Amino acid sequence: MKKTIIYLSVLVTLFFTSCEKVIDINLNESEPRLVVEGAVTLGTGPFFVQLSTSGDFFTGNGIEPVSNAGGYITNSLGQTDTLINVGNGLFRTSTLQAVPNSLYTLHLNYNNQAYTASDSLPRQVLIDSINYSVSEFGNSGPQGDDEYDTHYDFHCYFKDDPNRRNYYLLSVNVNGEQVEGRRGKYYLLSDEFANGKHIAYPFFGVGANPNDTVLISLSAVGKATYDYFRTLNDALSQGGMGSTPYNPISNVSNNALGYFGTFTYDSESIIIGK
Amino acid sequence: MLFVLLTAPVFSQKKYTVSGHVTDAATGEEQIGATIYISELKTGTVTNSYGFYSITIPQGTYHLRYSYVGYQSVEKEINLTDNTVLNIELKTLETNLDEVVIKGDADDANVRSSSMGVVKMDVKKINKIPILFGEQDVLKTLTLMPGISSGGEGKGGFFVRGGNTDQNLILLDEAPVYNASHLFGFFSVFNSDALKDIQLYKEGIPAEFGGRLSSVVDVYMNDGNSKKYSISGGLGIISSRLTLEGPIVKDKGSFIVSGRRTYADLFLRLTKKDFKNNTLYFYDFNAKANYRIGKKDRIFLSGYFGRDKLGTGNFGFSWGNATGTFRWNHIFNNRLFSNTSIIYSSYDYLIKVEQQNLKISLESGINDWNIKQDFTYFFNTNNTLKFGFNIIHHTFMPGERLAEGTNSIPDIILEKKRGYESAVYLSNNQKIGTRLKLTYGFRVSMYNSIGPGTVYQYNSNGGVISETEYQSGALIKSYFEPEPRLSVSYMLNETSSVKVSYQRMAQNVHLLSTSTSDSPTDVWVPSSSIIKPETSNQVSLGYFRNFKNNTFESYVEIYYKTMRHQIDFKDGANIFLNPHIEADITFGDGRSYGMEVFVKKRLGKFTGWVGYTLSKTERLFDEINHGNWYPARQDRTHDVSIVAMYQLNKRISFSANWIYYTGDAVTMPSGSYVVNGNIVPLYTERNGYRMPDYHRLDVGMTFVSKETKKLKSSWNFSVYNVYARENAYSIYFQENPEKPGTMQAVKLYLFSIVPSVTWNFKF
Repeated sequence: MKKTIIYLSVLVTLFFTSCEKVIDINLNESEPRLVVEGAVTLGTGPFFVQLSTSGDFFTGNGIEPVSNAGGYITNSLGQTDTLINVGNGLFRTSTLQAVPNSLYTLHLNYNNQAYTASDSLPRQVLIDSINYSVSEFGNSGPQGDDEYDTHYDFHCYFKDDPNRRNYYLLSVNVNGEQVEGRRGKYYLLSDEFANGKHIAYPFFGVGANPNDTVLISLSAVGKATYDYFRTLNDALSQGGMGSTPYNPISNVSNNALGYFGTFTYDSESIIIGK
Repeated sequence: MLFVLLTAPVFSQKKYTVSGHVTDAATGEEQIGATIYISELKTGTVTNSYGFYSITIPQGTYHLRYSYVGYQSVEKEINLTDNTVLNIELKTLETNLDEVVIKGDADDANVRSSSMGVVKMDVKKINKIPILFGEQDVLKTLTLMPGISSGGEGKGGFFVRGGNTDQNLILLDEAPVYNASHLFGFFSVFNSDALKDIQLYKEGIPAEFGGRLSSVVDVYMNDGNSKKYSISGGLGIISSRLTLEGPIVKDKGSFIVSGRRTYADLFLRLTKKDFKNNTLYFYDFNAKANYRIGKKDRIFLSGYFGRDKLGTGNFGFSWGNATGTFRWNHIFNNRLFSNTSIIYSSYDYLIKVEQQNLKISLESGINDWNIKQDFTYFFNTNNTLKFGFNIIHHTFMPGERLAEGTNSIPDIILEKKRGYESAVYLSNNQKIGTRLKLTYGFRVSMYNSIGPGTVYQYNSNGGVISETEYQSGALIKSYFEPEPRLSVSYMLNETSSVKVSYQRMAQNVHLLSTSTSDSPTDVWVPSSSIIKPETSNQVSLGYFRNFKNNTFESYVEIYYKTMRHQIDFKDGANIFLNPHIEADITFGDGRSYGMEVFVKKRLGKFTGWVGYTLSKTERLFDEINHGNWYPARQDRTHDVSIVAMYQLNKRISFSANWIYYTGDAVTMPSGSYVVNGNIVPLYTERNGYRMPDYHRLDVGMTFVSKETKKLKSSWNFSVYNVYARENAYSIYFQENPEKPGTMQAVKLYLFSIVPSVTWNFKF
């Protein structure tokens, strides 16, 4: 909804002939911080962790892979797996299995500092079906303004698990290209208001051509993972007239950035008819 | 103690009371704050909000001078041998502009009055100040005074001495206006055609007011011409206004109705194809009627209704306020004046999305019923007592989302919250000798949160740890706040005085806004078991001086203000449809201090003022900025306003104003990193950066056409932002299209130079 409001207020400013101009601004430098991108996905593994550092805002100088680090991943079943450095800041597990309903914890050691992050892996939720119809929103819809003549509303149908709080990360791809969500880059849902229901998750106004392949994916994710992507959406869409900007809520300790997430995965694809 | 003070002066002479109303001779409008001065006694009084005055003096013969800014003074000789009612009509000065201006004693009110920090705006005078699109705006004009700073171009609200925008109590005929902005802050909801008087209190706030921390803006609507019918209005480039007023029964009752609608979208639809399916406008409607029943009673009924409408294709978005006030003035005797008001006030917004069979609506709002009883007791020449009480019943609707024709979007209905906000107060306006004046008072405010409702307690991670159900009418939580108020003025000599004031304020309704500018979708929430009342303490000291026979008035003031239980959000808070919004709130402190300098030339062909504020405003929250003090967004080190008006002759006048202020404190990134292929900005401190300084020059000219028997009209030409300064509305960052992987800063600005013309008429 916030996005809608911003969209509408941009509309208001357009009425008043607003203009944009690239300007020079001096920004402070900050100490490089560790950035973690790690995931445990339901399946057999291996699971990967990518490490890097933060850098200068404008130039990106200082954003480098981190290879001189080590660590391991544990789960609440008592299993441990040491991370293998495969180069370029990438690390992987070798034996660890992804078991639903267990808690996974990443332990890292970098520059004599210890970092941990954990989230629990949810049970898999499967897509019942997907469908689409021509969007009523047309080009003025939430996506709007792209090169497509026709826009579609897609729905992804699935049943929520009533026994727990569930969090979902969804995505829609047209010919392999990810389409950004209404409220930011990632489509997210919590079942707070739809616990145990049959859910029809909408993707409004997605531009596509006949014969295009559209892939919709559904991941049940851990709470920390959901919170990270929810707030990453905010961080990526800030500018204009949003709220006071902030760093996404990371589950990695010791002032590190990024996330260590838990995901399940299911997808369905459909070809647009003529 | 109060009564000891009151009864201290002992007189043996027989005393009588002179009382009555002071009105405008042409329209019958009551004059608020007109002065009555008795030269023999070197004392006087002022009319209250209903134009009523009362003064009790010993038997004798006196000369009473009645004066009011912009009006010719009237002197009456009376031989006081009994209680006397004296109603006075004052004529405007404007019709005799070339004549010698008669100066009344009111001219030195700046120095003489005990109140400090009161900004009074003559609604007729501000019409000459140039403004965006020629659309007169009393709230925008107030921000040209020291200590009051604008929320920013295209952003609603205003800041008083470092307070937030929701800490201003904006009253329209006593009814709180919860969102005083149209079109995201481009205009205020006040149509100046319908207004009589506006006063802003920023310090030493009288005990009769309460409920907000920073200021009270008391706006009075016109009562309507009780002498004859008239139609007036204006045609502007962005809106038109029309006002109809006249007597119900001559000199006994009158009415006024006033409307305004913008039509920018109609023009834009003609010029740009893209805007075909869009709507964007607002309208306001003000109405008021009053009637005198006998000599002692008078009733008033007034209301406001305004709405913004905005739509594109299948989206519809509207918001607005509605207020209604019923008032009954009763004069118990010539020393005791009473006003009873029943007030309704509401604000809501509604968002609708319609698509074939699918209908989604999102709604939120606040709704008040309010009863207010105020007494003014004119005890003697040295003491005027005010006392009364006020009970507001609030209903908060935090949000509802309803969807029809789909099961993909669940209905969300957040629980309504109810509460009583009440207060009792007593204050006295006292003179001791000829030099010392005091206004002191005490207000006790109370907030009771009542059921039905569910109260949650949260752990530090925002998880629910307990849930308690309350029955309808059950008391959930109570807060008491004592609010002492004091202002003292001491005349050093005939032209200068020193004033000091102290106030404690409490606030029980809070505006939650995640946006850095005011938005129609901000949500009002009450104090609760988690949200404590916001409180503030402020001390001010000022030196006031008039020069050249009151041609110039000036002051220098310093102030220090502390604020407790201030509200901000934890990172990632969601205010939309969040039943656990209170878990996302964090509480902290604030402080603001500064110096204000003001010099005004009030008489002559050339008038105007210079206002300068030097200030610092900071916030301290455990969970923000690593628990260190940081500048509030409205922390403006320097804030300058220069307003100049020149009356060339009876028909032509020129005006100009120049505004400068330090750019807002904002949060910008100090680094970046990559996650999932996205460049993510890295923030290290809250509000550690500044927007570029804001400045702008506007000029205007008013030309009064030749008056005919039937028609009076004038043309107003104005140019906003004459030197086309590209003031930044916001700065955002994007990937540099020429150098992928690097970022660039983009400034968004709303206006360069904007000329406008308005035609005003009256017949």
